[in-house]
Amino acid sequence: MELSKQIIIWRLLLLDGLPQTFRLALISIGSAFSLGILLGVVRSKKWPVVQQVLSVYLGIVRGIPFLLLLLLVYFNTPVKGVFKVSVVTLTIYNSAYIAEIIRGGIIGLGENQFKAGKSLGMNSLEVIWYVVLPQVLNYTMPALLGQMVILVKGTATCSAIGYTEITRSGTIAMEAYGSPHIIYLEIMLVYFVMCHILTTIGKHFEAKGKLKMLGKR
Amino acid sequence: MDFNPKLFFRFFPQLLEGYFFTLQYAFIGIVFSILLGILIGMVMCLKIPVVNTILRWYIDIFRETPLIVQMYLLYYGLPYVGVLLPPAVAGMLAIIFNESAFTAEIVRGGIESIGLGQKKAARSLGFSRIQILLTILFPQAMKSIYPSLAGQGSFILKDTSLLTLVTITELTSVSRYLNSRYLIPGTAFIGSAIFYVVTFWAIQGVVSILQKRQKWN
Repeated sequence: MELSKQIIIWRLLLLDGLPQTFRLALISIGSAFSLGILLGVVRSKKWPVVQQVLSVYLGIVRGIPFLLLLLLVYFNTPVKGVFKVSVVTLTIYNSAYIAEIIRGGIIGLGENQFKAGKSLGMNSLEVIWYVVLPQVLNYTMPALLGQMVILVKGTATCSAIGYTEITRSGTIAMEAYGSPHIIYLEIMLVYFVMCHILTTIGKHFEAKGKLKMLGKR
Repeated sequence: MDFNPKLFFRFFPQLLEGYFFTLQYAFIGIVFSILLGILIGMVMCLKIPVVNTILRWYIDIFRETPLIVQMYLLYYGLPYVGVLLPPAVAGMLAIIFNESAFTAEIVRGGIESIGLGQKKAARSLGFSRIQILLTILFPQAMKSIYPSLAGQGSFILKDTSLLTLVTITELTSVSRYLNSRYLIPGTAFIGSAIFYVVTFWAIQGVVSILQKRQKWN
Protein backbone atom coordinates (compact mmCIF):
# COMPACT_ATOMS: atom_id res chain seq x y z
CA MET A 1 0.00 0.00 0.00
CA GLU A 2 1.25 3.50 -0.81
CA LEU A 3 2.32 5.80 1.95
CA SER A 4 -0.39 8.42 1.28
CA LYS A 5 -3.16 5.82 1.72
CA GLN A 6 -1.44 4.49 4.80
CA ILE A 7 -1.41 8.00 6.32
CA ILE A 8 -5.11 8.50 5.59
CA ILE A 9 -5.94 5.16 7.22
CA TRP A 10 -3.87 5.89 10.34
CA ARG A 11 -5.61 9.26 10.60
CA LEU A 12 -9.00 7.54 10.39
CA LEU A 13 -8.00 5.02 13.03
CA LEU A 14 -6.22 7.29 15.49
CA LEU A 15 -8.14 10.55 15.10
CA ASP A 16 -11.67 9.28 14.43
CA GLY A 17 -11.74 5.85 16.02
CA LEU A 18 -9.40 5.88 18.97
CA PRO A 19 -10.89 8.91 20.83
CA GLN A 20 -14.32 7.24 20.64
CA THR A 21 -12.86 3.99 21.99
CA PHE A 22 -11.29 5.95 24.87
CA ARG A 23 -14.53 7.81 25.58
CA LEU A 24 -16.56 4.61 25.63
CA ALA A 25 -13.97 2.71 27.69
CA LEU A 26 -13.42 5.44 30.29
CA ILE A 27 -17.11 6.15 30.91
CA SER A 28 -17.93 2.44 31.03
CA ILE A 29 -15.03 1.71 33.40
CA GLY A 30 -16.38 4.39 35.74
CA SER A 31 -19.96 3.11 35.71
CA ALA A 32 -19.12 -0.61 35.62
CA PHE A 33 -16.77 -0.33 38.60
CA SER A 34 -19.23 1.77 40.63
CA LEU A 35 -22.10 -0.63 40.00
CA GLY A 36 -19.91 -3.71 40.36
CA ILE A 37 -18.46 -2.63 43.71
CA LEU A 38 -21.95 -1.75 44.98
CA LEU A 39 -23.36 -5.13 43.88
CA GLY A 40 -20.34 -6.96 45.31
CA VAL A 41 -20.76 -5.31 48.72
CA VAL A 42 -24.52 -5.97 48.77
CA ARG A 43 -23.91 -9.57 47.69
CA SER A 44 -21.44 -10.17 50.54
CA LYS A 45 -24.03 -8.94 53.08
CA LYS A 46 -26.13 -12.13 52.79
CA TRP A 47 -29.50 -10.42 53.17
CA PRO A 48 -32.07 -13.21 52.70
CA VAL A 49 -34.15 -12.28 49.60
CA VAL A 50 -31.69 -9.80 48.06
CA GLN A 51 -29.04 -12.51 48.12
CA GLN A 52 -31.06 -14.97 46.01
CA VAL A 53 -32.30 -12.33 43.57
CA LEU A 54 -28.78 -11.00 43.03
CA SER A 55 -27.31 -14.44 42.60
CA VAL A 56 -29.87 -15.31 39.87
CA TYR A 57 -29.36 -11.91 38.21
CA LEU A 58 -25.56 -12.29 38.15
CA GLY A 59 -25.91 -15.86 36.87
CA ILE A 60 -28.09 -14.68 33.99
CA VAL A 61 -25.89 -11.74 33.02
CA ARG A 62 -22.74 -13.85 33.07
CA GLY A 63 -24.41 -16.54 30.97
CA ILE A 64 -25.41 -14.29 28.08
CA PRO A 65 -22.74 -13.62 25.41
CA PHE A 66 -21.74 -9.96 25.26
CA LEU A 67 -22.92 -9.54 21.66
CA LEU A 68 -26.36 -10.95 22.46
CA LEU A 69 -26.65 -8.69 25.51
CA LEU A 70 -25.77 -5.76 23.28
CA LEU A 71 -28.53 -6.69 20.83
CA LEU A 72 -30.96 -7.27 23.69
CA VAL A 73 -30.38 -3.79 25.10
CA TYR A 74 -30.32 -2.22 21.65
CA PHE A 75 -33.66 -3.63 20.47
CA ASN A 76 -35.58 -4.12 23.70
CA THR A 77 -34.98 -1.21 26.03
CA PRO A 78 -35.90 2.46 25.86
CA VAL A 79 -32.17 3.29 25.80
CA LYS A 80 -31.61 5.16 22.54
CA GLY A 81 -28.42 5.81 20.60
CA VAL A 82 -25.55 3.40 20.03
CA PHE A 83 -23.23 5.14 22.48
CA LYS A 84 -25.69 4.93 25.37
CA VAL A 85 -26.53 1.33 24.50
CA SER A 86 -22.83 0.46 24.46
CA VAL A 87 -22.20 2.11 27.83
CA VAL A 88 -25.23 0.44 29.42
CA THR A 89 -24.30 -3.00 28.08
CA LEU A 90 -20.63 -2.76 29.01
CA THR A 91 -21.73 -1.66 32.49
CA ILE A 92 -24.25 -4.48 32.98
CA TYR A 93 -21.89 -7.17 31.65
CA ASN A 94 -18.67 -6.17 33.40
CA SER A 95 -20.27 -5.13 36.70
CA ALA A 96 -21.49 -8.72 37.10
CA TYR A 97 -17.89 -10.00 36.98
CA ILE A 98 -16.58 -7.16 39.15
CA ALA A 99 -19.28 -7.94 41.74
CA GLU A 100 -18.02 -11.53 41.97
CA ILE A 101 -14.41 -10.37 42.33
CA ILE A 102 -15.33 -7.90 45.10
CA ARG A 103 -17.48 -10.46 46.90
CA GLY A 104 -14.61 -12.95 46.80
CA GLY A 105 -12.28 -10.27 48.15
CA ILE A 106 -14.61 -9.35 51.03
CA ILE A 107 -15.06 -13.01 51.99
CA GLY A 108 -11.30 -13.49 51.81
CA LEU A 109 -10.75 -10.51 54.10
CA GLY A 110 -12.68 -12.22 56.88
CA GLU A 111 -15.04 -11.08 59.62
CA ASN A 112 -12.40 -9.69 61.97
CA GLN A 113 -12.01 -6.42 60.08
CA PHE A 114 -15.77 -5.81 60.42
CA LYS A 115 -15.70 -6.58 64.11
CA ALA A 116 -12.67 -4.37 64.73
CA GLY A 117 -14.29 -1.50 62.89
CA LYS A 118 -17.55 -1.94 64.78
CA SER A 119 -15.73 -1.99 68.10
CA LEU A 120 -14.26 1.42 67.26
CA GLY A 121 -17.80 2.78 67.03
CA MET A 122 -18.15 2.95 63.24
CA ASN A 123 -21.46 2.09 61.62
CA SER A 124 -21.71 -0.54 58.87
CA LEU A 125 -21.32 1.93 56.01
CA GLU A 126 -18.26 3.54 57.59
CA VAL A 127 -16.67 0.13 58.17
CA ILE A 128 -17.15 -0.78 54.53
CA TRP A 129 -15.97 2.58 53.19
CA TYR A 130 -12.96 3.19 55.46
CA VAL A 131 -11.86 -0.29 56.50
CA VAL A 132 -13.03 -3.02 54.13
CA LEU A 133 -13.06 -1.50 50.64
CA PRO A 134 -9.54 0.02 50.66
CA GLN A 135 -8.05 -3.35 51.59
CA VAL A 136 -10.24 -5.37 49.24
CA LEU A 137 -9.58 -3.04 46.30
CA ASN A 138 -5.86 -3.22 47.00
CA TYR A 139 -5.55 -6.96 46.88
CA THR A 140 -8.11 -7.68 44.19
CA MET A 141 -6.42 -5.08 41.96
CA PRO A 142 -4.80 -7.63 39.58
CA ALA A 143 -8.20 -9.27 38.96
CA LEU A 144 -9.93 -5.89 38.59
CA LEU A 145 -7.33 -4.74 36.05
CA GLY A 146 -7.89 -8.03 34.20
CA GLN A 147 -11.57 -7.19 34.04
CA MET A 148 -10.64 -3.72 32.77
CA VAL A 149 -8.73 -5.37 29.91
CA ILE A 150 -11.84 -7.44 29.12
CA LEU A 151 -13.92 -4.25 29.12
CA VAL A 152 -11.53 -2.47 26.74
CA LYS A 153 -11.63 -5.50 24.43
CA GLY A 154 -15.43 -5.50 24.74
CA THR A 155 -15.63 -2.00 23.25
CA ALA A 156 -14.59 -3.62 19.94
CA THR A 157 -17.80 -5.67 19.92
CA CYS A 158 -19.82 -2.45 20.16
CA SER A 159 -18.86 -1.84 16.52
CA ALA A 160 -21.42 -4.55 15.68
CA ILE A 161 -24.33 -2.22 16.46
CA GLY A 162 -22.68 0.63 14.59
CA TYR A 163 -20.80 2.60 17.22
CA THR A 164 -17.87 4.15 15.36
CA GLU A 165 -14.91 3.25 17.51
CA ILE A 166 -11.56 2.07 16.20
CA THR A 167 -12.70 -1.35 14.92
CA ARG A 168 -15.58 0.15 12.98
CA SER A 169 -13.49 2.98 11.56
CA GLY A 170 -11.11 0.23 10.45
CA THR A 171 -13.97 -1.54 8.69
CA ILE A 172 -14.95 1.75 7.04
CA ALA A 173 -11.34 2.28 5.93
CA MET A 174 -11.25 -1.28 4.60
CA GLU A 175 -14.40 -0.73 2.55
CA ALA A 176 -12.86 2.41 1.03
CA TYR A 177 -9.22 1.36 0.54
CA GLY A 178 -9.07 -2.45 0.70
CA SER A 179 -6.15 -4.35 2.27
CA PRO A 180 -7.96 -5.59 5.41
CA HIS A 181 -4.93 -7.66 6.46
CA ILE A 182 -2.87 -4.52 7.09
CA ILE A 183 -5.71 -2.49 8.61
CA TYR A 184 -6.79 -5.15 11.10
CA LEU A 185 -3.17 -5.82 12.10
CA GLU A 186 -2.83 -2.11 12.83
CA ILE A 187 -6.01 -2.17 14.92
CA MET A 188 -4.68 -5.19 16.81
CA LEU A 189 -1.50 -3.25 17.49
CA VAL A 190 -3.46 -0.34 18.99
CA TYR A 191 -5.50 -2.64 21.24
CA PHE A 192 -2.37 -4.56 22.20
CA VAL A 193 -0.64 -1.38 23.37
CA MET A 194 -3.67 -0.28 25.41
CA CYS A 195 -4.25 -3.67 27.04
CA HIS A 196 -0.55 -4.37 27.56
CA ILE A 197 -0.20 -1.19 29.63
CA LEU A 198 -3.10 -2.34 31.85
CA THR A 199 -1.66 -5.87 32.17
CA THR A 200 1.76 -4.50 33.07
CA ILE A 201 0.20 -2.38 35.83
CA GLY A 202 -1.63 -5.49 37.01
CA LYS A 203 1.61 -7.48 37.18
CA HIS A 204 3.16 -4.64 39.18
CA PHE A 205 0.32 -4.89 41.74
CA GLU A 206 0.71 -8.67 41.85
CA ALA A 207 4.44 -8.36 42.57
CA LYS A 208 3.69 -5.78 45.27
CA GLY A 209 1.16 -8.15 46.83
CA LYS A 210 3.72 -10.95 46.92
CA LEU A 211 6.29 -8.67 48.57
CA LYS A 212 3.74 -7.71 51.20
CA MET A 213 3.09 -11.34 51.94
CA LEU A 214 6.81 -11.84 52.50
CA GLY A 215 6.75 -8.88 54.90
CA LYS A 216 8.71 -6.41 52.77
CA ARG A 217 7.30 -3.05 51.63
CA MET B 1 -39.22 -5.95 26.45
CA ASP B 2 -42.01 -8.05 25.09
CA PHE B 3 -41.32 -11.72 25.41
CA ASN B 4 -44.14 -13.71 23.89
CA PRO B 5 -44.16 -17.39 24.95
CA LYS B 6 -46.50 -18.33 22.08
CA LEU B 7 -44.11 -16.89 19.49
CA PHE B 8 -41.20 -18.46 21.33
CA PHE B 9 -42.70 -21.91 20.95
CA ARG B 10 -43.57 -21.21 17.33
CA PHE B 11 -39.95 -20.37 16.52
CA PHE B 12 -38.52 -22.93 18.91
CA PRO B 13 -37.45 -25.36 16.13
CA GLN B 14 -35.43 -22.63 14.37
CA LEU B 15 -33.76 -21.56 17.60
CA LEU B 16 -33.04 -25.18 18.47
CA GLU B 17 -31.39 -25.69 15.08
CA GLY B 18 -29.20 -22.65 15.69
CA TYR B 19 -28.45 -23.93 19.17
CA PHE B 20 -27.15 -27.22 17.73
CA PHE B 21 -24.80 -25.27 15.46
CA THR B 22 -23.62 -23.27 18.47
CA LEU B 23 -23.02 -26.47 20.42
CA GLN B 24 -21.06 -27.94 17.52
CA TYR B 25 -18.84 -24.90 17.19
CA ALA B 26 -18.39 -24.71 20.94
CA PHE B 27 -17.41 -28.38 21.08
CA ILE B 28 -14.86 -28.04 18.27
CA GLY B 29 -13.52 -24.88 19.89
CA ILE B 30 -13.20 -26.50 23.31
CA VAL B 31 -11.42 -29.62 22.05
CA PHE B 32 -8.88 -27.88 19.83
CA SER B 33 -8.21 -24.84 22.00
CA ILE B 34 -7.60 -26.99 25.07
CA LEU B 35 -5.32 -29.40 23.18
CA LEU B 36 -3.35 -26.52 21.64
CA GLY B 37 -3.32 -24.66 24.96
CA ILE B 38 -1.97 -27.66 26.86
CA LEU B 39 0.72 -28.17 24.22
CA ILE B 40 1.81 -24.52 24.34
CA GLY B 41 1.68 -24.42 28.13
CA MET B 42 3.87 -27.54 28.42
CA VAL B 43 6.40 -26.35 25.84
CA MET B 44 6.65 -23.06 27.76
CA CYS B 45 7.54 -24.99 30.90
CA LEU B 46 10.55 -26.53 29.13
CA LYS B 47 11.98 -22.98 28.84
CA ILE B 48 13.65 -23.40 25.45
CA PRO B 49 15.25 -19.96 24.82
CA VAL B 50 13.92 -18.73 21.44
CA VAL B 51 10.76 -20.85 21.39
CA ASN B 52 9.77 -19.45 24.76
CA THR B 53 9.99 -15.85 23.58
CA ILE B 54 7.90 -16.64 20.50
CA LEU B 55 5.24 -18.40 22.55
CA ARG B 56 5.21 -15.55 25.09
CA TRP B 57 4.43 -13.15 22.22
CA TYR B 58 1.79 -15.52 20.86
CA ILE B 59 0.02 -15.66 24.21
CA ASP B 60 0.26 -11.91 24.85
CA ILE B 61 -0.94 -10.96 21.38
CA PHE B 62 -3.97 -13.24 21.43
CA ARG B 63 -4.92 -12.40 25.01
CA GLU B 64 -4.60 -8.66 24.69
CA THR B 65 -6.46 -8.01 21.46
CA PRO B 66 -10.22 -8.42 20.96
CA LEU B 67 -11.43 -11.73 19.52
CA ILE B 68 -13.67 -9.89 17.05
CA VAL B 69 -10.68 -8.09 15.49
CA GLN B 70 -8.80 -11.40 15.23
CA MET B 71 -11.83 -12.87 13.49
CA TYR B 72 -12.04 -9.98 11.04
CA LEU B 73 -8.31 -10.29 10.39
CA LEU B 74 -8.61 -13.97 9.48
CA TYR B 75 -11.93 -13.61 7.66
CA TYR B 76 -11.21 -10.50 5.59
CA GLY B 77 -7.42 -10.51 5.64
CA LEU B 78 -6.42 -14.06 4.74
CA PRO B 79 -7.91 -13.97 1.19
CA TYR B 80 -5.70 -10.92 0.55
CA VAL B 81 -2.55 -12.92 1.22
CA GLY B 82 -3.78 -15.79 -0.94
CA VAL B 83 -5.29 -18.11 1.67
CA LEU B 84 -8.92 -18.92 0.92
CA LEU B 85 -10.77 -20.46 3.85
CA PRO B 86 -14.49 -21.04 4.41
CA PRO B 87 -15.91 -18.48 6.88
CA ALA B 88 -16.55 -21.16 9.51
CA VAL B 89 -12.89 -22.24 9.44
CA ALA B 90 -11.60 -18.66 9.68
CA GLY B 91 -13.94 -17.89 12.57
CA MET B 92 -13.16 -21.08 14.42
CA LEU B 93 -9.40 -20.60 13.94
CA ALA B 94 -9.72 -17.18 15.62
CA ILE B 95 -11.60 -18.70 18.57
CA ILE B 96 -9.11 -21.58 18.87
CA PHE B 97 -6.03 -19.33 18.75
CA ASN B 98 -7.57 -16.88 21.20
CA GLU B 99 -8.75 -19.39 23.78
CA SER B 100 -5.64 -21.57 23.46
CA ALA B 101 -3.62 -18.57 24.64
CA PHE B 102 -5.78 -18.34 27.78
CA THR B 103 -5.61 -22.11 28.30
CA ALA B 104 -1.82 -22.08 27.89
CA GLU B 105 -1.52 -19.53 30.71
CA ILE B 106 -3.73 -21.70 32.96
CA VAL B 107 -1.65 -24.82 32.20
CA ARG B 108 1.65 -23.02 32.66
CA GLY B 109 0.49 -21.52 35.97
CA GLY B 110 -0.69 -24.95 37.13
CA ILE B 111 2.59 -26.66 36.31
CA GLU B 112 4.72 -23.91 37.79
CA SER B 113 2.76 -23.94 41.04
CA ILE B 114 3.99 -27.47 41.77
CA GLY B 115 6.83 -27.45 44.24
CA LEU B 116 10.44 -27.81 43.19
CA GLY B 117 10.74 -30.93 45.34
CA GLN B 118 8.86 -33.05 42.81
CA LYS B 119 11.20 -31.96 40.04
CA LYS B 120 14.33 -32.62 42.06
CA ALA B 121 13.12 -36.02 43.22
CA ALA B 122 12.38 -37.07 39.64
CA ARG B 123 15.72 -35.67 38.50
CA SER B 124 17.54 -37.74 41.08
CA LEU B 125 15.75 -40.85 39.81
CA GLY B 126 17.19 -40.19 36.35
CA PHE B 127 14.07 -38.91 34.54
CA SER B 128 14.68 -36.68 31.54
CA ARG B 129 13.13 -33.21 31.46
CA ILE B 130 10.37 -34.18 29.03
CA GLN B 131 9.62 -37.31 31.04
CA ILE B 132 9.34 -35.25 34.22
CA LEU B 133 6.94 -32.84 32.51
CA LEU B 134 4.73 -35.53 30.99
CA THR B 135 4.61 -38.15 33.73
CA ILE B 136 5.08 -36.17 36.92
CA LEU B 137 4.31 -32.47 36.65
CA PHE B 138 1.45 -32.47 34.12
CA PRO B 139 -0.78 -35.09 35.81
CA GLN B 140 -0.44 -33.27 39.13
CA ALA B 141 -1.15 -29.90 37.52
CA MET B 142 -4.24 -31.33 35.81
CA LYS B 143 -5.65 -32.11 39.24
CA SER B 144 -5.64 -28.45 40.25
CA ILE B 145 -6.51 -26.85 36.93
CA TYR B 146 -9.33 -28.92 35.52
CA PRO B 147 -12.07 -26.76 37.05
CA SER B 148 -10.57 -23.71 35.31
CA LEU B 149 -10.30 -25.67 32.07
CA ALA B 150 -13.99 -26.52 32.37
CA GLY B 151 -14.61 -22.82 33.01
CA GLN B 152 -12.89 -22.10 29.69
CA GLY B 153 -15.75 -24.07 28.15
CA SER B 154 -18.34 -21.49 29.11
CA PHE B 155 -16.18 -18.70 27.68
CA ILE B 156 -15.83 -20.54 24.38
CA LEU B 157 -19.59 -21.13 24.28
CA LYS B 158 -20.11 -17.37 24.61
CA ASP B 159 -17.36 -16.62 22.08
CA THR B 160 -19.21 -18.57 19.40
CA SER B 161 -21.89 -15.86 19.35
CA LEU B 162 -19.36 -13.60 17.61
CA LEU B 163 -19.32 -16.02 14.67
CA THR B 164 -22.52 -14.36 13.47
CA LEU B 165 -20.44 -11.30 12.55
CA VAL B 166 -18.47 -13.34 10.00
CA THR B 167 -21.67 -14.64 8.36
CA ILE B 168 -21.84 -18.02 10.09
CA THR B 169 -25.20 -19.46 11.12
CA GLU B 170 -25.55 -20.19 14.82
CA LEU B 171 -27.91 -19.26 17.66
CA THR B 172 -27.28 -15.51 17.66
CA SER B 173 -27.59 -15.32 13.87
CA VAL B 174 -30.90 -17.18 14.06
CA SER B 175 -32.29 -14.67 16.54
CA ARG B 176 -30.96 -11.78 14.45
CA TYR B 177 -32.65 -13.31 11.41
CA LEU B 178 -35.94 -13.87 13.24
CA ASN B 179 -35.86 -10.28 14.45
CA SER B 180 -35.22 -8.78 11.04
CA ARG B 181 -37.77 -11.06 9.36
CA TYR B 182 -40.66 -10.87 11.85
CA LEU B 183 -39.72 -7.83 13.98
CA ILE B 184 -39.88 -9.68 17.28
CA PRO B 185 -36.83 -8.37 19.18
CA GLY B 186 -38.14 -9.46 22.57
CA THR B 187 -38.92 -13.05 21.71
CA ALA B 188 -35.98 -13.57 19.36
CA PHE B 189 -33.19 -12.28 21.61
CA ILE B 190 -34.58 -13.32 24.98
CA GLY B 191 -35.38 -16.70 23.44
CA SER B 192 -31.79 -17.36 22.42
CA ALA B 193 -30.55 -15.87 25.70
CA ILE B 194 -32.51 -18.62 27.47
CA PHE B 195 -30.56 -21.26 25.54
CA TYR B 196 -27.21 -19.66 26.40
CA VAL B 197 -28.04 -19.16 30.08
CA VAL B 198 -29.28 -22.72 30.53
CA THR B 199 -26.12 -24.11 28.91
CA PHE B 200 -23.96 -21.75 30.97
CA TRP B 201 -25.63 -22.93 34.16
CA ALA B 202 -25.16 -26.57 33.15
CA ILE B 203 -21.41 -25.96 32.66
CA GLN B 204 -21.23 -24.02 35.95
CA GLY B 205 -22.98 -26.91 37.69
CA VAL B 206 -20.42 -29.38 36.38
CA VAL B 207 -17.58 -27.04 37.41
CA SER B 208 -18.90 -26.67 40.95
CA ILE B 209 -19.33 -30.44 41.29
CA LEU B 210 -15.72 -30.88 40.10
CA GLN B 211 -14.55 -28.28 42.59
CA LYS B 212 -16.41 -29.93 45.45
CA ARG B 213 -14.91 -33.30 44.58
CA GLN B 214 -11.50 -31.70 44.44
CA LYS B 215 -11.89 -30.21 47.93
CA TRP B 216 -13.07 -33.59 49.14
CA ASN B 217 -9.93 -35.25 47.81
